[in-house]
Amino acid sequence: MKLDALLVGQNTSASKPSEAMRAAVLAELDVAKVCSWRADVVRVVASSWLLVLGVAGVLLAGGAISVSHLAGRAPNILGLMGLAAAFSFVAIAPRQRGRVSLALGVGAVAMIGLVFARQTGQVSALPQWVCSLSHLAVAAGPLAFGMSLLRHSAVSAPRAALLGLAVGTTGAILGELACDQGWSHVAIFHVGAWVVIAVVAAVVSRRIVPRSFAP
Amino acid sequence: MLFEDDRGYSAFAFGARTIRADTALYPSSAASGLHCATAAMADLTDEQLMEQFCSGDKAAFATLFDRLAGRVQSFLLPMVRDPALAEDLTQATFLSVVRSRDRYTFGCSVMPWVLTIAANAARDALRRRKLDQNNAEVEEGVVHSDPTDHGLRRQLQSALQELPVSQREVVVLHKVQGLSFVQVAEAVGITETAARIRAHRGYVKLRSLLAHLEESK
Repeated sequence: MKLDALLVGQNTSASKPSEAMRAAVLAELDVAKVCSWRADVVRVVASSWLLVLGVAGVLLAGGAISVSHLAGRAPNILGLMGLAAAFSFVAIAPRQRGRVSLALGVGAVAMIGLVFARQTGQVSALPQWVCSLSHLAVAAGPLAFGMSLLRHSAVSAPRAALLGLAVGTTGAILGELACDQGWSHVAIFHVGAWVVIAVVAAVVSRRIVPRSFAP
Repeated sequence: MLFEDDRGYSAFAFGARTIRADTALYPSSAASGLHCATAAMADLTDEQLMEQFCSGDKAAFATLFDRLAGRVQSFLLPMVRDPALAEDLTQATFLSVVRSRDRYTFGCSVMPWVLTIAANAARDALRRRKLDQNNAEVEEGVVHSDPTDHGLRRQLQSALQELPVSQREVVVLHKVQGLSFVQVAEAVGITETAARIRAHRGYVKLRSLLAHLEESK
C-alpha cells in the first residue's frame, strides 16, 4: 500500500464548492466592511491613552494630585503608555505570532520594574483592595472594546492575554497617579489586578465568536 | 452559530447549508459581469489576483475563489469529516478573506495564507463542537465514499480521524495539500522542526492504523 499516493488522492477527491456558496461569498463583497488592523490598533491605543489622560486631568483639576507629583511619576507613566501601544500593536497586527511570547515576557519584566520603581511607602486610610478594584474598573472599558476588535481576526489566548496587558496599563497608570503605598502593595494589589485582567482576557477569548479567521 | 456579519445575523449555521437568504437575490447581471472579468484573469498568479482584490477589484476575488475553493474544501473535509461542515467552513474561510484582506501581506503566497484561515476555522469549529472527543459518534454516512476505491479512502479518512488535530492538520497540509514544511509551519503557527516532528508522528501512526491493509496486500 502506498500511503503517500492514497493521501495525495484525497486532494483530487474533493467535491466542487456549490454555486450557492460562491454566490454567498461574492455577495459578501458588497456588504462587508474591511477590518483595517491599523485602525484597530489606533482605536485600542487611543481608548487607553484618552482614558488615562482624562483620569489624570480630573485628578489634577480636583486637586488630588499635584503637577510636581505627576512630573515625578512621568517616566513610569510614559513607559506604561509606550507599553500599551506596543502590546496593542503586537496583539492586533498580523504576522506577529513570534513576538507575542516576547511581548508577554516584556510585560512580566515591566510588572517587576513597576514594583521596584515604587520608592514611597505611605499608609492610606482606604482599604488596599480599593486600588485593585479601581485598576479593574478603569481597564474594563478598554478591555471590552479591545476584545470586540480582536474578533476581526483569529483569536488566540496569548494574543488576548497580551491585549489584556495592554489595556491593563490604564489601571497601572492610575496606580502611579493616585497611589503612594509601598512596593508590596503594588506587587499584590496593582500587579495582581493587572495579571487578572490578562487572564480574564485569555479566558474570554475562548468564548469569542470571530468575524474572521484570518491570522 | 459560528459567524456573524456586520448586521449581526448568522451567515451560516453548523449542519445547515450555507446559503444566506439575501444571497439568492444577488443580481444576475453583476454575477455575469464577474464571470466575464474572471475569464480575463486566468493568466494571473494567485498573488497578483490577491493584490488586485486588495486594490478593490472584485472580479479578481471571484477568480481567486474559483481557483482555491476546491482545495480549501478538500483540506477541510478530512479535517472535520463532515461535508456540510466542511462547506460551511470553506465559506467561512472566504468570508474571512473578504473581511480581512487588509491582513494579507503583499508578496506572500496566497494559498498558505488561505489555508491558515481554513485551519483556524476548522480548529475553532472542532473545539466548539468537541468533535475531537466525539469522532466515534460521527455518522458513517456523512463520509464521502467512492464505490471505486474499495473502501480504501474511507479507511484512510477514518485513520486520519484517529490522529490528534495537531498531527492531522500537518499531515493533511503537507501530504494532501502539498505545502512545504515552511508553509505548514507558517499556517499552523509552529516552527518548521515542530511541523516535521508532528508530520512524522502522524505518518507513523497512520501507518500503524492502516497496517492491516498493508498486510492484506
